[in-house]
Amino acid sequence: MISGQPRTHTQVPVNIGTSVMGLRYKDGIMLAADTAVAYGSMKKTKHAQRMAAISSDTAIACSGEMSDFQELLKIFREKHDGDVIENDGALFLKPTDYFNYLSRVQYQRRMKGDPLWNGSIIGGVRQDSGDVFLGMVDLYGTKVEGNFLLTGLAAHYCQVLMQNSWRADLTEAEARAIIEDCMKVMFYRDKKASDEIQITTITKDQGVKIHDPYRIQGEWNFQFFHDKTNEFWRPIRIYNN
Amino acid sequence: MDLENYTNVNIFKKVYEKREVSSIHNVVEQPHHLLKDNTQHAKGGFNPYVNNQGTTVAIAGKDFVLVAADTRISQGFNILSRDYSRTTKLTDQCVITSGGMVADIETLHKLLIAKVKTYQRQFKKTPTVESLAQLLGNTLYGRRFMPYYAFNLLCGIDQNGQGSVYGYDAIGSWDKLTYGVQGSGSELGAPILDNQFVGHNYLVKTLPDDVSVVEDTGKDIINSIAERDIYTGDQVEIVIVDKNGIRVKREPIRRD
Amino acid sequence: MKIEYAKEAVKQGSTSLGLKSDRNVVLVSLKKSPHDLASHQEKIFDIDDHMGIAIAGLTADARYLCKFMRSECLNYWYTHDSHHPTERLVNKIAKKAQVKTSHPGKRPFGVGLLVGSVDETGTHLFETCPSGNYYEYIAMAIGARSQSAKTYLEKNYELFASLGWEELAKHGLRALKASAQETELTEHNVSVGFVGADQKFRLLTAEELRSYLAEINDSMEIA
Repeated sequence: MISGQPRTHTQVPVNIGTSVMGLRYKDGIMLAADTAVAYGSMKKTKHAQRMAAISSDTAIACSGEMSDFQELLKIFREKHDGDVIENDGALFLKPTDYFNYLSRVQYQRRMKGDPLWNGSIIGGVRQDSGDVFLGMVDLYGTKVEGNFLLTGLAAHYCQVLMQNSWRADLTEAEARAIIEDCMKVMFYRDKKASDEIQITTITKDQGVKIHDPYRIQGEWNFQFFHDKTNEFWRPIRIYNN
Repeated sequence: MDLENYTNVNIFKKVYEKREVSSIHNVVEQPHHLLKDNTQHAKGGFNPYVNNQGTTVAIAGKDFVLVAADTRISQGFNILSRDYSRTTKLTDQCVITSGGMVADIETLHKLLIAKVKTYQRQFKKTPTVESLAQLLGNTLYGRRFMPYYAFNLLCGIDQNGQGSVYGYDAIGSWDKLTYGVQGSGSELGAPILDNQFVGHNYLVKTLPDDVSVVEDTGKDIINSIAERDIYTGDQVEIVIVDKNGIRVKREPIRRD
Repeated sequence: MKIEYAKEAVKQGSTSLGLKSDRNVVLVSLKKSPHDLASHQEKIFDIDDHMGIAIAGLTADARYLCKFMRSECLNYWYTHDSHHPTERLVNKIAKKAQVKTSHPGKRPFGVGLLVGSVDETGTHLFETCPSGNYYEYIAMAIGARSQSAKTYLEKNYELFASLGWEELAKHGLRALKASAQETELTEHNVSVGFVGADQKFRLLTAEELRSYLAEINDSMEIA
């Protein structure tokens, strides 16, 4: 910090994770993100995890600044530990509690002019009542709930795809297929997205389950790519011999 | 002598060069998602305000007050939610409805609920609409230097059983009205209201007495605004406050 | 020991009692009036939609703790949009009370609270003491001559689990009558507060109280 200058905060995100998605399906919630972290236009890491369990029944996936994501995880861990440490026979913090708490944290930080530069999707299924929750919080503290949620560029590219294919009675396989479809579109169109994706499911029976990342199969086998170019675009070549 | 300083042209030139005016509107109108790689932030830093748009209308009647609001919230050209309720119950006889920034609106509404609860315990009675009107004004002005980006209408039944609407700007300047409209469709809604109800220039302000007629008009106004304002749509939420309490109903309107 | 005096203050306070079923908690208090011409001191306070307290001892100390509990509940609601867990709030009071027992220039709270509440883990009835201890009960009475009420509650507590709040309130009033001895129970000197799984905490109105008391008095005379 330069002396005499005011204290500066996160004014610009540096290490950026791109869009995350979340949707409700028959058994609970599915969260998805790819594993790339961009530094400017360079992919700095291609195998980063951008989602985590907050408690046994709540999980979060974040787009935006990755250091702020880690700060969020720290805040949530402290919150969860505080719940556990009381040791009074129950964990009182529900998915909605974490959601509201996150929105208050984000709002306070924006008031300080020092935001946590993330778009976060929180999902949860309560193990006792089976209540399903899916919500999104942005860097201003805006709370949004919905059946399917998208942050960042995915909100532009995948909205219609989700709208047309979402149903309340989706099976896990169908939900996964929709997510993969959306992720494929993001991989094709978003320069910061990658084809390695990761999915977290939250269900009443199994709680939070963070699945291993895997690669989606993009379709690149077009004649165009084989030829590199076509008749109309082929440059004039001059042969000397 | 340097003649340059004496010509009006240079004065204009200076103004012209310094054309980045940092008024609230100039900054918040930009859709957040459309900013290229956050270059705006690199220059100007974090902008804590965002306008989530939406329209709300309130009309006072002889013994009731009616709120008609849309349920859409947006960020830039994106729709964040199609079923957001921008109206909150404060007491059995009073609701607040707002347009502007959702995070600020929710904070403000929650704060007011807490203040109402504290009031009830302290004075063993429910605050009147008149008291809440003053309270809201003070609460908004309390944040004069980082205002709630919320444009409010406070609606309720006063001590004489009459419907009343109070209109506010973001920093707490307020007035008692017979009807009001706030939010992204306020410019479109105001003239319709002026045409349909007894407005500012009438010395004797007679209030409408038929709820169902006012309800239809309220719905029509939100529906009409939804035709022309891209930020208004999805559903119209009707909230009716009368001596029996508060009723809420919703109807779908255009979603495009 | 100052703590002994504080406990004595609780014992001198007029009777408060509480009892709970699976879905409801009821608090009942006998109010005292310092003089024939004076009004009765309020003894049951609402804390939040899901919680209320009945007190025995120094009302001023009780009001201080009441204000603290109310603001804790509001703060919890503001950040989590849900109700404050009961035991954790009782724990916060106990922490405050404990500090007052171990600091030289400080006086312990001269009040005992019965906290009735419904939360995620069901219905609860807690008692807090000036010493910083707290206990959970199915039914409990504190304050002057509370032993008779306790005896009544001990005899009948096995019936409580399935009762609705109306029946609980009647049991509560009968228990209070046992402690009140020659004092006649009227709507002026009795308070009843209750909360349920789907019922916000509230006090009975004077009319409601009058009809319940009439019913109790009739049935007691027959017995």
